This record gives sequence, C-alpha cells and structure tokens, in this order.
Amino acid sequence: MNYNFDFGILFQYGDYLAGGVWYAVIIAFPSIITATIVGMILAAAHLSPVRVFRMASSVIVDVFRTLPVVVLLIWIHYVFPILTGLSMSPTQSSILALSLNGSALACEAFRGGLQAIPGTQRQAAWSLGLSKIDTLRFVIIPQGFFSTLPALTNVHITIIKNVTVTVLIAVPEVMFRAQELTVQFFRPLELYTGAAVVYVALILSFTVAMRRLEKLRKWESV
Amino acid sequence: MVYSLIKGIVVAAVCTISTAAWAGETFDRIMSSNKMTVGVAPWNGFVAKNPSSGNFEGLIVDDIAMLSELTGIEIELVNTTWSGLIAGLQAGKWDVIMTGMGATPERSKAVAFTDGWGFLSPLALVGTDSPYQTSDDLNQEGNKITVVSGTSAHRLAARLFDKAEVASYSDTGAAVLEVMQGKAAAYIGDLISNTKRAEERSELRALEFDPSVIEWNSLNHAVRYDDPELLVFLNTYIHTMQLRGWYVELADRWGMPASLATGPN
Repeated sequence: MNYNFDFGILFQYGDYLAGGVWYAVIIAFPSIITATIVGMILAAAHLSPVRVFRMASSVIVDVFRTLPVVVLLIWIHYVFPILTGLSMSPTQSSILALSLNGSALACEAFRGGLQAIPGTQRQAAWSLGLSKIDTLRFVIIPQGFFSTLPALTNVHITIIKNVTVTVLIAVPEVMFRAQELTVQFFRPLELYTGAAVVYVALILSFTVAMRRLEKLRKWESV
Repeated sequence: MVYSLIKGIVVAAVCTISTAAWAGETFDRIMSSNKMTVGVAPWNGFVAKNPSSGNFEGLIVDDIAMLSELTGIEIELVNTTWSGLIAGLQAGKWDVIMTGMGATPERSKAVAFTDGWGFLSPLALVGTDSPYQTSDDLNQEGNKITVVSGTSAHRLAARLFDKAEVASYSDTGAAVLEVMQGKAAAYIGDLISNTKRAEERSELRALEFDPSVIEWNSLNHAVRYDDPELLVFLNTYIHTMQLRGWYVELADRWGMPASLATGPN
C-alpha cells in the first residue's frame, strides 16, 4: 500500500464540502415528507375493500420499489424532458425520484403496521358510529403511523443515503463537491472520508430525533 | 365520450412530440435572446469550480469567455458530470457541450461534434518505486493496467497490452487509486491530467509512451444533430481562433504543452 494521507485539505475546503449539506437537506426532507404521506395513502389503498384501489396500489409499489433509484433519477431528469418537453431542475428531479422510491418503501412499512392493528379496534370504532373514513383517520392511521415509526425511520435513512445518488445529475450536494475537489486536488480518499463524516452526522442527528419521537409512546394501542 | 378522450390523448401526444422538436430552433433562439447554455464537467486545468470563489476557471472557461466577448452572446455554464453530458444535451438541458469531450465514431452516433480545437496524447502513471520504464515493461503476465472505459486510453491499452490485463473503470479516481495502492501496475490517461497528478502526488510518476505507438485524441465541442447552424457557428469560431493563435496562447497561459493546440505535427 502506498498512499500518503493529507487530511489538511478537509480543513482548507471543509466549508465548501459542508455547503453540500444544504442540498442534501432540501432534497431529503421534502422527499421524506412526501414519501411518508404518499406511502400512507398507498398502504390505506392496499388494505381497501375496493379492488381497483388495491390493484393500483400494488402496481405503484411494485414498480417504484423494484426500479433502481439511479435508473429512476436518470429517467426523470433526462428521458422525461425528451418525451414531454417539460424540464425539471436537478433538485426537483431528485425530490421526485426519491419521493417515488421512498413512497413504495414507506407503503410496505405502513402496511405491516396497519395490519398489526387488531380487527376489534375497527369494530369498536364502527359500533361507536364512526364512518369507514373516520375510522381510518382517527383510529387506524394514528396507531399505524406511530407503531410503524422504527421501520419508517429505516426508510427515511435510506432516502437520506440515496441523496448521494443525485451526484449523477450534478446536484451540488456533499458527494458531488467531493468529486469536484478530487478532480482538482487528487485527494479522493480524504475527500470521500470527509463526505462520509458529513452524512454520518446528518443521519445520526435524524436518528436521534426519530428515537425521541418513538420514546413518546403516545401511539401504543389501548 | 370515449372517442373524445382518445382524440384528446392523441392531440396531447402530438403536442408533446412537437415540443420535443425544440432543438431545431436552438440557433435562432440563441441569436434572438443572445443567451446560450453550455454544459461543462469538471476537468482540472480545463473547467473547474474554484471552491473559494465559486467561479469557474480553466482553459475552456477562458475560451468560452472569449467566444462570449467576440459575439456578445451571454453564456451560462451548467455544471454536470461526464456521464450526464450527452444525456443532458439530448434532453435540452444545455445547447452545447464545451468541456473538451473527445470525438469518437461511437459518440458521434449520439451527438454532432465540431472540429477539434485541441489535441491530447496519452501518458501512463506508475508507482514512484515501481521498476517500469517503458510500455513493454508493463506488458507482463500478472500486471493490471487500469483505464477509464470508453476512452482513447482504453483503446490504446487494449491494442498495446496482450499479456497484461486491461481493467476498465467508470471513474478516474478509482482507476488511479488502484495504482497508488499497488493493485495495478499503471493507469493510462491523458497527458495533461496525468502530468498534473504526477506533480501533485509523490506516490506516482509519469511513464511516456514511444511516440510511434500512441494515438492522439481531439478535443471538441458537441451539439445536437438538429442544430447544424450552431455547429457551423462554433466551427467558424474554432477555425478563426486557431488562425489567430488563440489556443497556443491559452495552452501557454495554463501551463500546458503547445502540442495541445498544434496536435502531433
């Protein structure tokens, strides 16, 4: 092995590298929110007694769960404009791609949580006079959401990590900046290590926040 | 009802296809708006964003500034990756690629290249302490030669090395690291980038090829095939600036060999 490390470059250009966190945040968090909401709707559709809803949900989940994020991203950013003439910025394309993939993953997490709620809860809600929509809104989804939190946190972490894929369409997030600096200063290992530290810090902060939310235990079934 | 729906879909599809044909009007749009969008990818010395100032710098950036100054066209640079350059051009994200992309018959199936404005020869990088002195020394059983896939260096390596294994990578960084970590005997890339790497990294030294075996690579701009007027416009600029000695001046300004502008002869 022959590699002379020089981490001084991280002190010199660390602020430029860390500037990419802003892009990671503005892509990851809207994607997380969208994926959570759409995932919940898809899970509800999947458990619906209406066959069309169930089938539509299955198709959407199967397509976006199996499509590699890289392919989805390139398709949205480069193929979609050729077919439609509608062009999105790299940030918008990234949010859309990560939201679609994250929705499919979140749906599966929610489905498990919703199915785990005993049928007696639904029956109790109906006996109190709640409609099917209200039962879903006030009884099933709140419990399903919170009992799904640990699995959902994994989905959210996957979304944050997938932000690094957006380097392919030149979103100037941390990995893209590490590549830019590598081209100029030929210090790939130091710069990618710096990028890894930034992502670990971002994901750890998010995980700590989610664990605090989990510890509230306000969702436990009666 | 169903007929109206189908009719609507067909009309929408036709509109969609016609909007996709915007590319033919690129030159008229550039001339009327005086604005052109250029896709660039990072290349040390040619196009790179200065992390301190946030501005693009390099030989190609100076060339683009000169084009803008002479024609009065405002040029916006869009930073992208090498792998996204052609896809972005075809998707209409930028009007032209100006980042020193080499023209090859394979690539010219996808985009229209201008005439070459610069020329590059290959150079190998080996470990500083390695015993290799010539390309023949590298061509041994058990040696691994790394290249970036699809480049002229890849073709050269495949032609030159029948005993050594030629391993292609999608990323230059990974290909060079293989040599720095002693997993590969040499990395073959372009003369200018590899000279800079050898100067910057004490773990690497340059190994020149015999001039009789190397193949040169041209540096070109690229546009969509729908834009022949833009191609003529850029070629006129290149020819004029070559006659004015602009590219020799640029090479000198950026500490690059004059052969960049003159080529093998």
